[in-house]
This record gives sequence, structure tokens and C-alpha cells, in this order.
Amino acid sequence: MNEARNQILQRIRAALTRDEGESMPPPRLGRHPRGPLPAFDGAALDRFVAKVQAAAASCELIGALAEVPEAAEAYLIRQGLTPKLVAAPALVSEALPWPPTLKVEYRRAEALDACALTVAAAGIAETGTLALVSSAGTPSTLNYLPEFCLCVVKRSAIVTHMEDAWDLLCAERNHLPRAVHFITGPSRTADVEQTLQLGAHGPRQLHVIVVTD
Amino acid sequence: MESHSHEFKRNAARALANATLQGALRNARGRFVGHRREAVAALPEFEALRRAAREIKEHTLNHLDSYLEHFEQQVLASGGQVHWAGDAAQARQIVLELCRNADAKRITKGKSMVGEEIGLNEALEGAALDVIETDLGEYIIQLAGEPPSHIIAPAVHKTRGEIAELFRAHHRIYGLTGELDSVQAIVDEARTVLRQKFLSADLGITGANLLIAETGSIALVTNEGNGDLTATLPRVHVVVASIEKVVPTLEDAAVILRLLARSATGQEITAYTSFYTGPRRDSDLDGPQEFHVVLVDNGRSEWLGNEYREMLRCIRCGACLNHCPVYNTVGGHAYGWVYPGPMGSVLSPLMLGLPQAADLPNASTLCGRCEQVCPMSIPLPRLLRAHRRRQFKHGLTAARERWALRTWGFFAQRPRLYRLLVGMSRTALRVLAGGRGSLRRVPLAGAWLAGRDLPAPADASFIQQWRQHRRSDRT
Repeated sequence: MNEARNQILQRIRAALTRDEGESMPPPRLGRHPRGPLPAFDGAALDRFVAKVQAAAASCELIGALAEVPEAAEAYLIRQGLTPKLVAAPALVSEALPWPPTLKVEYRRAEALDACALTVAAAGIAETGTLALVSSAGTPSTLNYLPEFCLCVVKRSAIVTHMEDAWDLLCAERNHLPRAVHFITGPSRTADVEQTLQLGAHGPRQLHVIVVTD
Repeated sequence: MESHSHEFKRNAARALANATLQGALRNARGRFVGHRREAVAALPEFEALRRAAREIKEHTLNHLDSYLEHFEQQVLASGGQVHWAGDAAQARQIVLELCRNADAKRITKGKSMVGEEIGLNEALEGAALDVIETDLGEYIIQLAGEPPSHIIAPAVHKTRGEIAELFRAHHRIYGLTGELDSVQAIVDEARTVLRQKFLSADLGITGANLLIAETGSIALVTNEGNGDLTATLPRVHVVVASIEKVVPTLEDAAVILRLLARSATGQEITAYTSFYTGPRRDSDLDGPQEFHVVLVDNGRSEWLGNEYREMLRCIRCGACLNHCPVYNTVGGHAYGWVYPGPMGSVLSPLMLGLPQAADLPNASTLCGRCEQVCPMSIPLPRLLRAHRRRQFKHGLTAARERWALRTWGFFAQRPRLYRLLVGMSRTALRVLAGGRGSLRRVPLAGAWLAGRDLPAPADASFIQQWRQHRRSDRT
């Protein structure tokens, strides 16, 4: 394998007419020059909400994290789902006031879970995108396995562009989480006659809850 | 995959006579072009992003060795492994070995063009592994036993009826009996069957849209979420990526992502854009135990030093296909291999050898729309002309064509003679036209005019009109 590696690097250096052996230090690393950023008018929150909805997700604003159980319960009733949620373990410490009628389990998602509740690390106003990281508190399966996904994002975590989300998630650019998922609306496909159909392999519906507190 | 690129003319003739295919192509064309146009019009920064992306890629290519080495270091530091493959055979071998080491029986795959390029599915199936494509379009063509006909919409040539028929034939074993009479029914059926595959796979293979040198991450862009399920559920995640996918930083990735989705589907961003860095952490509740990246060269390091270098900027968005009058007329299969359209007509001869794909560089009017819409400003017409020049030089051009080109060259180098002859033919054609605007028949050009009319020539040649114009300007 090392042989192939050396051959490829040698061929590259030959093509770049660079000498055998030492390569130049990668000049662009360590600095993070940003490209042109799409400008937009208005407040980041308004833009975020409008773009979330444009991506075929739904969105609601609540005042405080303690209102999440009420919003989640109302959502389950609206969708005609059984009162069960698989929730991000990150929310355990919040001691949310769950109604006794709602069964909540804090864990990763499994095959039969219908509805997940998770937390985004950031929201991006430019495109109405959620940035979710994989961690013990927010396992990735919550974003992908259940048919319905509820996602909480704090207003203070709504940034304007993807570059700002990176700064918020990992300012030093080392020790990235295993996965950073930028999610914009529910799963979709247009592979049958170019006709848009929601709910291909991931959630059929995505509901974003912005906590404005 | 076996190449049929040498049979382009026959393939194209068949495609033209296939009414179902022509309907499917008509349906797709308008949507792709319209969606892209709207997305570009809505973004005043599009041209600035295009320039920035080109600069990023050129810079990266100039330091490709350093960035690849740095990428490798970072993958290792995050607990993953990197494997280098000089050619397609080595790449297949590496992936097969990873499957063997993982004792994998069932493998789910995300859509990967480099996977198609190296013939990965055939190799895995040949080793008696159960391989399932999970992108709906790829799954459909896997059932049909066909190659993709479009790099981002692999089953664009299939109608809803054909897909339902395929599912009825192949899903009986999963208990499908009813009709699938809507797009939703088809998508739901695929979702149900493929969900079981995701949950039971031992190893997942995806491509990568970008590799990030600074962090050792791979970026994966999908709309269905199949790539993320493939990268999250199985015990092992194998990423197959070609070496030119690397960019220095996450900020550089953001620039290219803004162009990619808009150019491909007209979206601002796809539903899912994920960055994966290494295997699951100790405290993680999900994610693979092993993370491997297979870096594939397969000729690219050579193009870096020759006239095809600019092709290494390609981000596989498919815009050049969607805007190509030839692709839109014959469809992707006529090109005979995995990469169709203008980008394919540049890539296939490089990968298969020019004699094996001799018709492809000529299957273009060089109208230039591909270069206009290319988010990475790749001069595709110039690269196609480079192929044609090499063909002529190496005697791969047909005798009659060579003779015609040589004759034309003779006169073109003698302007007086050229103008005299052109003037005579203009007079002759005007007589033939007899005052009509166009000609139906011209001696010696029967085949050419079978499907089109020839506009009658103007009163005066361009040069004559130009001179007259200049004279009247002066007075």
C-alpha cells in the first residue's frame, strides 16, 4: 500500500515539476479565509424561519426550553402519532416537565421509533439549515431513523452563514465531532420522473422549534 | 463496468428511435435547466463564488501532494485509516480486502461516481457479497442491471411505469403484490425494503463530494439521507474518493457547496450535507467502529501535468449534461460508459484510451453552453478540441474526415483562393435557392439535409459586409 502511496505522490510532484521528497507546507491551512458570503436583508431569525419553511419543514417559536414538552405533545397529536418520543440524552439535564401521558426515552434511535426529539448546535439563516453534531448527548440516528423529527435550536445559536456555524461548533478546527450534519428540510428524492417526493430514507417531516429565550 | 463507448454512433441511433427515452429526456431537461437558472438568478454572488471556487481548486491542485498528505495525517489522528489506490484494480482490491477483514456479508452503498468508474459493484458481487445501492435512482438501475445515465440522476431515463414494473418483478420476494401507481407508492416501497438493508448491513460504502485537508473530514451531499444511514448504521464505513476531491479548509468547502447544489438541482443546499471525521468516539452512542478512506488516482496525477489538468476542477454537478444539446438528444447510455455528456466526453477517452472512445469528443457541436454553466469554469470545448487534435495526430480520425480537413486546411491557408471558391459556391447556392430563404436539397449533401434545411447564403460574404461597414463608418 505504501508503494502505491509513494507512486501517486511522486507522480503528482513530477506533474507539478517539484523535486522529489519534501513537499511544500500547505499554505492555506491555519488561516480560514472566507469566500464571498451571500448577503441578505432582514434579521437572521426571520430569514431562518422563512428558509426552514421554504425547505418543506415546519417551524414554531417558543419562549423557553420548558415549553418544549407542550410543543412536542401538540405536534404528536396533530400528526396523530402515539404519545412516544425518543429524545436526545443532552436534554436529560434540562429536567423538562413532561406530561405523564407522554412516554419519553433518552437514547439513540432504533428501527421502530416513530418520532425523535433532538437538539441542533446551530441554525443557519442563509439556507434555513440545522447543524447537528454527533455526540453522547445527540446521537446521529435521531436525525435519520424516525419518520418524524423534532429539532430544538436556541435563538442565540442562529448564525447567518455556514462559516459562522463552523466557528461556533469548533473554533479551533481540531477535534471535530465524528459527524456534523447540516440538515435542511425533510428527506426527499426526485429520482422518479424528476418528481419531488418527501420522505425518501430519512424523516418524512421535520419540525423545528426555536427557543427565543 | 464494460465500456461501449466505441459504439457511440449505433447507441445514439438507437436512443433517437426510442420514444420512451425521448419522452423521459424531454421531461428532465426543462426541470434541471429551469431550476438551475432560477437558483443562479436569485444569487447575485454566483459569479464571485465561481471565481473563488476556481481559485481554491487551482491553489489546491498546485499543492496537491501537501494537501493529500495533510488530509491523511488528520484522518489517522482522528482514528481512521487511509488507503492509496494507483488504479481501478488496486482500488477494487483494497475495498474487497476491507470487506473480507470486516467479515462483511451485506454491504449498503451510497451513490458514488468513482465507485462506478472503478467497477466496484461487479467486483463485490463477484466476491459473492450482497451489495445494495441505496440512492433510489442507483437502486432502480441496479435492479435493471444498467449503468447510470446521468451523474446525479442515475435513473432519469426510466419512466414511472418502468420503475413500477421493475419493483413488481424484484420485490415479490418481499411480499409486494399490489400496483405501484404513484410516485409516492414507489418511493415508499423502496423505503420499506431498503430500510431493512440499512439495518442489517455490516459495512457501508459511500463516495465523498469533498475531502477537507485541515480536519481530515469527508463531505457527503445527498437529499434522501441514504448516505448518512450508510455512514452511521454499519460497523464499518468505507469512503471511496478520488484524489482531486481535496480542498484545504471547511471555509473552502462552503464556497464549493454553494455552487454544487445550485448547479446540480437548483437547490441552495441539499437536504443533507454531512461532514464525517473518523470512527465513533468512545462516548458516542452510534456511528461505525471503523472509518476508512480509499484515495483513488486512476490517471488523475498524470492529467495534473498535461493539457487536461483543468478537468480536475470538476465537482460532478451534472450541469454540463443538462445543458448539452447532444446529451439531451441521445441520453446518457449512448456514451457507453459511466460518465456521459461533455464532462464524460473529456473523461472517458482519458480513462479508457482515446481509440476506445473515439466518437465521444466529436459528439459535440462545441456550442459552449457547458463551459458557460460550469460552476468551476472548466473549458470543456477546449478540452474536447484537444482530444480531436490528438486523434488527428495519431491517425485515429477516419480517412475521409482527414482528407476533408486537409483539403479545407489547404484552402484556408490561401485566403484569396478560399474567398474565390466560397464566393462561387455562394452564387451557386443562391441560384439553387431561387429566392427562397432555405434549401431542401443540395448535391452531395443528401444525408446532412435529411433532417434539416440549409439556410440560403446572404447577398455578400462576411468579409465583404465588414469592408462595406468600415467604409460607411469612415464617411
